[in-house]
Amino acid sequence: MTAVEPSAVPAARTAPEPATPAVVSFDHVTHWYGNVVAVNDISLELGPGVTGLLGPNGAGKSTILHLLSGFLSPSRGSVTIGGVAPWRHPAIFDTVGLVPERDSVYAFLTAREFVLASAKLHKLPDPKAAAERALQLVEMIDAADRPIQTYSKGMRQRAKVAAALVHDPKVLLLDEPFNGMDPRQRMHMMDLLRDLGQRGRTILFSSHILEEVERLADTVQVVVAGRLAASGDYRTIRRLMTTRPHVFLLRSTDDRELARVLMASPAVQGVALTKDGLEVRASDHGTFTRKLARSCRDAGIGLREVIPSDESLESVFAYLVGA
Amino acid sequence: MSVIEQPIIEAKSLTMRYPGGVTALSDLELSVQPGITGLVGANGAGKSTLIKILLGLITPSSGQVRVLGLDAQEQGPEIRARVGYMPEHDCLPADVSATEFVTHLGRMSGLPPTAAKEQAAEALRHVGLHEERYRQIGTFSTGMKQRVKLAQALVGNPGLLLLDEPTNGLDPSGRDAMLALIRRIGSEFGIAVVVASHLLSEIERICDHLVAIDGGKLLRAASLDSMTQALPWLAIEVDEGSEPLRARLEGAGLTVSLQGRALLVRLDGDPVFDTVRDTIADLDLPLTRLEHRRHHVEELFERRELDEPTEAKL
Amino acid sequence: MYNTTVAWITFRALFGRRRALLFALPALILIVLTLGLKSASGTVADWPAIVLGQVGAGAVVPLTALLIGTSVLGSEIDDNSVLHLLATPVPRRAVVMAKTSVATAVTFLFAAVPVLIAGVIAQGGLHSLAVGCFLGSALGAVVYSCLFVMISAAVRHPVIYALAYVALWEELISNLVSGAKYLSIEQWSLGVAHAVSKNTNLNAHLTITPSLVLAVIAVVVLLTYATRRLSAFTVRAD
Repeated sequence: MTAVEPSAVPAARTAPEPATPAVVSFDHVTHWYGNVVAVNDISLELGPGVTGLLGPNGAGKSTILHLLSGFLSPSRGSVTIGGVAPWRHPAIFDTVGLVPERDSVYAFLTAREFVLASAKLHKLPDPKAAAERALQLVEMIDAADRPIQTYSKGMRQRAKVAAALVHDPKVLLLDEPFNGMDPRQRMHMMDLLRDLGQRGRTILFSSHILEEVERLADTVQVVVAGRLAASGDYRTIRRLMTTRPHVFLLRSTDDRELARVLMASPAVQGVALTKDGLEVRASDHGTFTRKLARSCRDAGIGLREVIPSDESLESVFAYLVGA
Repeated sequence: MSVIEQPIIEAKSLTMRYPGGVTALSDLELSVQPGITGLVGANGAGKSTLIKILLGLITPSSGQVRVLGLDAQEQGPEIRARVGYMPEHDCLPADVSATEFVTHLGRMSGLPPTAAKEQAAEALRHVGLHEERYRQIGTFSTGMKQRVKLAQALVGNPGLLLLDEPTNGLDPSGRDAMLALIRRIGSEFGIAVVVASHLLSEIERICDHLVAIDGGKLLRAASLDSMTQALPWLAIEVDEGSEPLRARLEGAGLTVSLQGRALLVRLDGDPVFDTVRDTIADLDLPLTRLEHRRHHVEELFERRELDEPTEAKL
Repeated sequence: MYNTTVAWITFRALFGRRRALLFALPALILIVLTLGLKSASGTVADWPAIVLGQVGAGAVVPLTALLIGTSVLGSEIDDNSVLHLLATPVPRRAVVMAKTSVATAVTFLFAAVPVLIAGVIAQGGLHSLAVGCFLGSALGAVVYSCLFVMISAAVRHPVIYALAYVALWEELISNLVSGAKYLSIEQWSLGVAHAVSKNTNLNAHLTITPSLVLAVIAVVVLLTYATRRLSAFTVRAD
């Protein structure tokens, strides 16, 4: 629980021990293709809720999702979903849904046929009803009778999600699910996934769009060069990077005076007056945030805005990747 | 400098009906100013049709379009010579070097051999591919390929760049680099840029203006600043003790509601700031955020009732 | 053991592409060839046995089976759409069975039946040669389909391997090396055709019993191996 910089310690683990047993677990998993190590000694546990899987291109995100869905076998270590190893075990798909990244679908089918086929392949008691429900969830009822090849990328994506959701899986794995979706479709998909997460499903999705991950995911798993660089709540991850000063942008009734006041505090490493306000670099996050309001009051300065400018997932990610 | 510039793109009652009855654009009115403009719209909203019409590749059913003062229906070739276009799809040959490819396209757009070579070198330098310019495109990463596509659009001193989903497939650092590059092209080179993107956060980051089309019609055209104006709500985040804080603030007569991890306080006037500051100081709480809530571009696409007027109000 | 939904998707995929037209091409050539020879040389000469045996069972059946057998699974694996099928709890054996059944049925329709038709045209009626070659081709349709589905499940570019088997093994080696006849699907087909028609021009090297026994063993081995390979399906590194 003390890890800080990615260079110093491989994984900063901040997620509290889940109350329910982990649904998905990686235990010292390594996977290599030939001489290329795609995933290197990764251990992680996921419970119900939405988890974002992040990393630069080629960091091993798809490999992790494929290991979980049994389309790759771990070279070392063990992968389990609900206690079962997915490799050579298609029965896990009774409770797992997968949305692959590639755009390839049975393009000659209509979305309704495609989702219905998925329902039948899952041996659902009432495949028709399940297919309609899934199509409704992704809002594809209107276009459901057109062949998938006539769809835009975003619609294809939704058809794939419907097929993966048709059996109401406990675990849903999605590889770049928002690809090609327009703003409205994105918002809808985020609402859908968030809702599923709140209803106790375990959802793991990879994405390059950090703003989306930040809004949707409860926790993140950051993979860099095949290793787990950090996991947990990204704000907590940020706090653990104690060697990096925390940057705040402050606006007040008297920035110059505020700068003078703050400079006196040992928790503050530096301040700079910018056109947007006062940029403060705090070395001690706890002390700085606890003293801020009081210092302003004591100095008679009106505090207008306090923005933690490097606490976004964007900056946490940049720090982890070493940019 | 004070001359009123003519719009970069001007469309008047532009309609495009495809044979078969699909109406991609209906009576679209559009005026794009210099600077960086974001073009957003739902899938199937007519974005790609619009791009084809702007490049003079297809003829609209009715209406008029002028691009850089040229008539899109009459002067397609002239427009294509003056507009740099970066297509969305991967369309690069794998076994050609970046220099060869960009030079070749420069030649195709009518540049003499030496000029094409010089401009290709220049464009590749601008996009940061100077070192890799003799490598085969097939060996490039997605981010580098996107930059080759951008470089070829820059050749020929374009007056306008049309970029279709320029960050498609890029990872976070690749996106950052691409967005910074576009921003630089727009501000330093003074080239007008139209960026079609599905990512509103990107548009908020780099664009000066925004054009949203929906169902073939103009949904909204405005400056980004006007779309992200502050709301009379103050978001407060404390690391601990948000419950007692809420109780005290309400006790002080403020309107408070909880949104995610933030407390939203209605900002009725400047005294609210001091009440908030003093309450936090009294309770000795760690204050991590105090921020105005703002409008988001995204609100454009939130579920709306039918028949909402196109010119939305604030 | 068998999954109708998989079979239905496979069938739709097979005929949802323009490539489906190709499936009829070998049969078409066979019919045209038969009509040509018929008008050129009358009914008596020994050409029908060569056309039905060497061209029909020996070339049209394997080529048609190759086009179809590598399409039912190979093209799906090629474009990764097979993931949608494999990301379900359907046992891999059922997938292999369904794919092979569809391939067999379609090959039967586009190759074995045309052999029968060509036989009727050649001899001006239904005679034992046509029936024998038809039954032999039907057996060929089954075994070749199993083989090509197995190859699709096992290797990356199934068409190349399938072609190599047909062209090198069946057409070259099994004609030059005498022991190879025991491992030639074409010879098993001809064994059946010969047993029914007793036509020596068929150039059959095996009798019916080893032909059938070996064919059954081959089917079991090929299906088992295909299932094993599909169970260990891995996505390609990106």
